[in-house]
Amino acid sequence: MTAHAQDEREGDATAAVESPAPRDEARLLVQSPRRLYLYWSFAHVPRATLRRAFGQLADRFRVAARLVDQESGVAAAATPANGRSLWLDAAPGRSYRAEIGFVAEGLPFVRALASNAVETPPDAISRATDGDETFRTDSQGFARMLAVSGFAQYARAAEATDDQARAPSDDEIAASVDEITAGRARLAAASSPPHAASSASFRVAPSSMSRVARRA
Amino acid sequence: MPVGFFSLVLHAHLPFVRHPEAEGCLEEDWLYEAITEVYLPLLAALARLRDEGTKARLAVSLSPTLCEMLSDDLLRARYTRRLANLLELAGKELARTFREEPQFHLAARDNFERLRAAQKLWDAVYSRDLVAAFRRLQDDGAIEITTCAATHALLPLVSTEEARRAQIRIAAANHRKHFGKSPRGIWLPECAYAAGLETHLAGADIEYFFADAHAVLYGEPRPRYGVHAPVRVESGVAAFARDLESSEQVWSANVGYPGDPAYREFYRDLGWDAPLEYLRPHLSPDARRRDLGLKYHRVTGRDVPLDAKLPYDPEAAAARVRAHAQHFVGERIRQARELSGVMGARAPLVVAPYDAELFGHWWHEGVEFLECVLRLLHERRAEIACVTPGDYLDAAAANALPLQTQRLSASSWGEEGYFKVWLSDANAWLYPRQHAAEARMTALADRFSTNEVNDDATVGAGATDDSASSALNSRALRQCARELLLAQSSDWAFQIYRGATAEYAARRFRTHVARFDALAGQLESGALDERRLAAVEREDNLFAELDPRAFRTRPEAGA
Repeated sequence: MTAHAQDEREGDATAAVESPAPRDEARLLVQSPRRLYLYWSFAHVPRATLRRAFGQLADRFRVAARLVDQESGVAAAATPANGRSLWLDAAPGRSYRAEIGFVAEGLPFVRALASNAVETPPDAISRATDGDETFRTDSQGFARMLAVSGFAQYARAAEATDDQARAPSDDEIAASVDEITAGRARLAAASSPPHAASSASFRVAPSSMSRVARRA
Repeated sequence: MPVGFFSLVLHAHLPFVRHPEAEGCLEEDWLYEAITEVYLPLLAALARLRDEGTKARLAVSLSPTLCEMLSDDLLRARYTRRLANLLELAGKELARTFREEPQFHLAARDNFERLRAAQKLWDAVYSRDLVAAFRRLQDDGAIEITTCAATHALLPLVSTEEARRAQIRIAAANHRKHFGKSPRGIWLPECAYAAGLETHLAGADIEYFFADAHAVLYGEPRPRYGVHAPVRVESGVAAFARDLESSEQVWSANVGYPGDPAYREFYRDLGWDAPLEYLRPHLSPDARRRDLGLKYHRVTGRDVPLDAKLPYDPEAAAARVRAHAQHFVGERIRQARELSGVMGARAPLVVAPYDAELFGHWWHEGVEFLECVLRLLHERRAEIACVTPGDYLDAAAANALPLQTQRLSASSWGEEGYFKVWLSDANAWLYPRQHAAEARMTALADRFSTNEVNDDATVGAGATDDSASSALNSRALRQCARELLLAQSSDWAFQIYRGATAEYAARRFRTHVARFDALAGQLESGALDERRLAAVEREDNLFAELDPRAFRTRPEAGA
């Protein structure tokens, strides 16, 4: 018998995949500068611990998650967490940790688990110029560089940030983000194989190397 | 002195799709199609360029899973049979189109000639060993081969530093096995970068990697030369960023070359057009229709429905290839000139990375395009020099040219530039299971890995019970590592996200985690089932050289 056939026969092995051994864990993953994914598990049913601590009040508690900004220490409002995972909104260029715990009306958040810390990537060019003279560039020079590289709009926002003399306006920042997004969108069109748009209605070639068509 | 530098990078990768239990398995076709349509023609083109003295070097990233499959006897034997079978069908088609559909005869001849050439290359020229063929090209100075993560794991979504490090170290060891030396560069799967990876790259003596444009553009401090010079990250490893303009010219569905009306249409295939009875001898035993790579139509136009596509004319397509190659090279020179105007004394570098499988598979004429581009670049080398990243770093060192040090932004070259493709509602369920296995693997490696590599060799006559048990543990530990590595392939999350082969991808993930869990449980309890272990070893047989110490909390030197 092949291992494959045996895997098919061994329902217990597959079941183990569906239910990994429970352990106390909360893990935070970065999807993008503005989106995080949190999953968690408890090794033991936490309600028993709550009962010991709060007696009958324990039934008023609900599981919730909150995101803590590592730099400011500010925690976002707790979000009810009914399953074992949650998508959370975030801001670019920040460091976060998530906490899973319990909330009840009129009572403070009771932390049960803390996740790993993550950093969301920035979604705009840095204002910092290099301390090394060789690589120092003023914003006009950098903007010219970007413009020639195909990031014209992006370049305007760069120019606006010259030595922090003036903070870029929201419109300028939005424009720079739009330009990058538009650039990616153009390439995202290529994440389908060439001229797929005209062909997609026919068939998504299941026998072909589907992993190939993935560029953005 | 050239105005600038151009670096072409081809990333070749397929997930490990070896299915000894089922000849004719649909997914093995991914490999066979790629050998016929991409790797063999590419090797032949690069060899021609080398033989004619063309000095236009490029980097080729060959993933460890691909190298393992290309070196696998079972897959090579199956491919040989498949190619012969397909050639027989192409021969029948040559006669049939001559008699019945002369408008498709030119395309049928193109199909036949390409398959016949592939068979000659496979058997007579390369003796069925494509890894050796790539190695020869590297040894001859035509290409620079880089590695990739062991099983193409999306490293920012791997949960432990030990598991990230293992993906890189196992890849480097596999590269040494196949190519006889350490890789200078690595293709981070999906160009996915996150802070911390550079430490593991430096630990594996890797000198450079590739990143998407915004990894550098959003990096800190501002990149003085944008994406047109490599930067160094903290560990000293260099990062080369993708140039968007050259990517778009090839990849874009809207303005990219492959959408030209003269090029061959990918989505019309004889495997779906011909009567099933006619095809039956050339299909797998289940007689399911599938792409065969025999195609007769051209793109015709963007909005032309598939049933209205016109016959393919290889000569007309070849003329477009030449025109597109001229345009591409001309644009690179124009780009270099414009960039040099703002870069001062530093000559600009344009890095153009692509999936190798675009060329020849999705874009039928793609390999001819590459060959034309490289030849033209050689002709115009006074204006633009074609270099590999390694060449660039060597020249920078020789000329005391410093690289800017930067803290890169986390990023990928996937949709929207980050990790959405591999972490979404559709595939987020993978990660708790994968991460649990990653933590458990390090615990197993800490507990069971010894400093004796391949110590199952001690099994045999005269071996003590203890040494036999230790050898069995060692085998089980290595197989645990293989199963975890296979579960980590980013291909599964990608396919689930795209939906096209989601069921297969989910099954593969579940199977590898189940095998990992079963073996880990047996190892921990001291109740290993040798027969079961042997069966799994036969199926998931990659990385014979694997050293599980790579997963340890503190790996010893050489692990």
